[in-house]
Amino acid sequence: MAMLTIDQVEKYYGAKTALTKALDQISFSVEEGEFVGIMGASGSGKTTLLNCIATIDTVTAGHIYLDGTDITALKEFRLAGFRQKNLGFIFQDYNLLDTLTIGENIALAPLTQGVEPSKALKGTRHIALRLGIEDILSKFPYEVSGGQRQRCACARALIQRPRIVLADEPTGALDSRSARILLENFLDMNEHLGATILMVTHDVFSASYCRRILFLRDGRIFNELRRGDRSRSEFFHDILDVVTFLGGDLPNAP
Amino acid sequence: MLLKLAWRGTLRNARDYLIYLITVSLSFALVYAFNTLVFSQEFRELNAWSENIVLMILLLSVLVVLILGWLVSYMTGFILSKRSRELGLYMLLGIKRSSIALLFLLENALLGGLALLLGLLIGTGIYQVLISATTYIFRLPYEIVLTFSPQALGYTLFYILGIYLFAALRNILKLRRIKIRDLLRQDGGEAAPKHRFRLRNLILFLFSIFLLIFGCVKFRDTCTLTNRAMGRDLVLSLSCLILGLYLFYANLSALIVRRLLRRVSFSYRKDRLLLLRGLSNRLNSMGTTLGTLSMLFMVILTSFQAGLEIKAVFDLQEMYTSPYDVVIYSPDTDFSAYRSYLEEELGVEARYVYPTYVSDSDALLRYFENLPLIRFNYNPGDVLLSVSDYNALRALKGLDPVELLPGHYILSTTENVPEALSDPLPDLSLRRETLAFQAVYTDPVLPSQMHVCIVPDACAKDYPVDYYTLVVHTQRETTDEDYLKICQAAEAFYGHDTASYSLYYGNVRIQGSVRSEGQTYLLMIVFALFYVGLVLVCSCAAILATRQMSDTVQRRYHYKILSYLGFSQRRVDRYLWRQLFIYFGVPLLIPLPLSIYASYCLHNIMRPYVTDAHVLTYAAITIGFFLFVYLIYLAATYIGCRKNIQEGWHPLD
Repeated sequence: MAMLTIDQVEKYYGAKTALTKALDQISFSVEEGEFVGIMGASGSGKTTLLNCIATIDTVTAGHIYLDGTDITALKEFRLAGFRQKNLGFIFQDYNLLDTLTIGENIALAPLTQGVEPSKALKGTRHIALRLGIEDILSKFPYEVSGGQRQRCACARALIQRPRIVLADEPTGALDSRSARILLENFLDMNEHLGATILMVTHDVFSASYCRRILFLRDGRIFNELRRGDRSRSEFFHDILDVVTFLGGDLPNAP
Repeated sequence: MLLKLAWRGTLRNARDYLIYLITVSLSFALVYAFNTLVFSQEFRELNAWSENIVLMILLLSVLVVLILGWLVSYMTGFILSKRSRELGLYMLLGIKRSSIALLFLLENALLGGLALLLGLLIGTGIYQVLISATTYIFRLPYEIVLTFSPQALGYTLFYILGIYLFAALRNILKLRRIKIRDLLRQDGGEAAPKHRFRLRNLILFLFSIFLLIFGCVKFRDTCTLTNRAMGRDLVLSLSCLILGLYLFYANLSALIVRRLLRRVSFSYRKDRLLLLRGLSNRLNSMGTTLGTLSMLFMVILTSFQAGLEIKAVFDLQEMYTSPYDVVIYSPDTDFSAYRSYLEEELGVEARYVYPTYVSDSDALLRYFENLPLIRFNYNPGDVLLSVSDYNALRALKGLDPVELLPGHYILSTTENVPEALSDPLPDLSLRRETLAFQAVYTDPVLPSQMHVCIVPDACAKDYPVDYYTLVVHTQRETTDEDYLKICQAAEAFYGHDTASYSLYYGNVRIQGSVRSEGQTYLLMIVFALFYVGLVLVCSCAAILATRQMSDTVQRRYHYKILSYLGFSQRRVDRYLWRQLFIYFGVPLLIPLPLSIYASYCLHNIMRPYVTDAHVLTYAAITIGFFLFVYLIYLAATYIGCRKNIQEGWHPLD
């Protein structure tokens, strides 16, 4: 059984006279331990889809199941707890709290769930070691590089071992070297920690790290690519072909 | 085009800085209302003392204008820094620097105009409250009349023009110096947090505690009646307290980082990490402003409490100085100079003349010398009154007579004295016999007498009469005009003999006049505290509120992240409330206890006049009123911040 199932999801914005179909009958599923990418041009509905899965936005029609639970039917007061237990988030602009240190930003996730301080501290050190940011735990976000900030955001998303990590353009604000390190971290988390990742991106290079890509256009799934046994370079070119066909953004060659 | 841009900017500012606009409007309303009061004919003709209130209000207006100048200057500077990116963009688009300065000036002028318009409307209402309060205090009839005073408007406009010109000049100078790059780089928010712990900060923090304690000790020394270097001590203690407050708030974050945040077992529980880091950041970015606010809070709170205490002094004075409608002192029993006025103008209901004696014993004088009470008896010996005279006076006041035991004396004094008496009172060695102490009576029976010994008639008559006192209960209630008239009548009776001139005026007490003086002081205190205190509290709270609301907009994403991390809306609300509570509470951390302490010290000076019983009541009234106004701002800030956060909650952000 799939871990995440999107079933005939629709999302409309606006009034009847100027209706925008952000998502139009989308259906797909994600297996446990998968690394799935969602690509599409601006306005194709990528972020709307991610927000609906994140329970930040509601669907107009359809259902979203996580481990068999219909999250579109969850009551408002249960959503916060649901997000806390099941979801991890990574954003393009890091979204770290600038008043906390890197270590405190990471520890914040377990602390908000009431985990013992000593356990939260231990978990923070462990995940920071894994992501190579153990030296900067006592620094503030403004004191470290963009790549390090994004790895901190990664650590915060992963520390509580969520069922699924939702990443929205995580490499969007990074230089190519930092982006590569981050994506290697994603791969490591996926392959060795068994993390399930759903990543929204319009960058072909970032997408080439995924095992499967869903292409969105005008709120619908236009195409689906699986990497299979191909090398990352071959997969990159296949993605590029689809993007070119879609008339999308230019790639960042691997 | 410039006007259109300015108008849009003004509307946006009015919306974004609503609390500031309301505060300024309210302050202008107070300035206008008090000036209208000052220039109103009814007020100027209130009584002989109302000129004093007029002068005081004009002086207070200058003080209020200075406070408002600080608020407006601070806020326009803040708005400028918030909008620096936009102004930088205008410069990039080729708009001249002078045009941008003019735009900013226009915006401020429009905002000031809006505040003035609101202020005039509210001020007209406040004036009605003030004039009704005045007539109520003076027991005069009151009717609502819509009043417009061109002079008051002129003064108010003059003040406001001064305030805005000062603020505008400062900002124009700032704009002239700044470069486009700097404007574009600034986002007007709080600087990047620098919560690094430095030993220097901790040392300075500890030094600030030392300064505050030292300042307190010196202030206590200042407030003693025996202090001969009061001026020097006052300057020293105030300097220490002010410097201590600034250093305390500038370095408090060092203590938070060192003592609280490093203790993981404490700081990692509940929402403490977020709250403490937020507070530490706030202290770093506006430590000096918080120091200023706390200093102002301390001044407001202490003045309020001292004001109430001074009011108590006047109440006491009214009660003891003139417990009868008319009191006249004379070296002999001839009061004929006053008779015609008393009988014809006031009507005599009851009258009594009694002598006061000065003994050769100074036992009580010496006893009171060692107590923290002012010396009222400047005679060489203790003052005596016969028990029959005392009982006759008590009867005049409707009180039961006292029974004096043989061989004893009674002390008649004011109500604050008994609590200062620690040792038993001494025996009184008189010519006829030695009298033992029997009791203390504090009923207001004897005018202007602080410590009088009530002795058997025979003991008193062994001594020469010091002076005679005539006390009268009149048929008509006396007014402050009677004082002048009765003195003039006495003057006319004797002829204009300059040698006895001061005698008529100094030896007459008219209850109506004393009461009127007391009412005037009451009005002065109430007006001064209400006027300056309210403007000051509102200005300080408005700065805190605006900073916080602006910070919430800038850090909207903080709350969004917390939501992603599993904070429910309720928990975010609770966190926001706690955060605001701490931010508003920190500037009160020192001023609240310090003001109560300062009031206790000031009470030492007042102790000869007032009892200790009301000090805590005055503190409670003051702090209650202050917190009431402050909490309104806190609640408004909470509602505003919550709205700001929720507006930023849109999922497609």
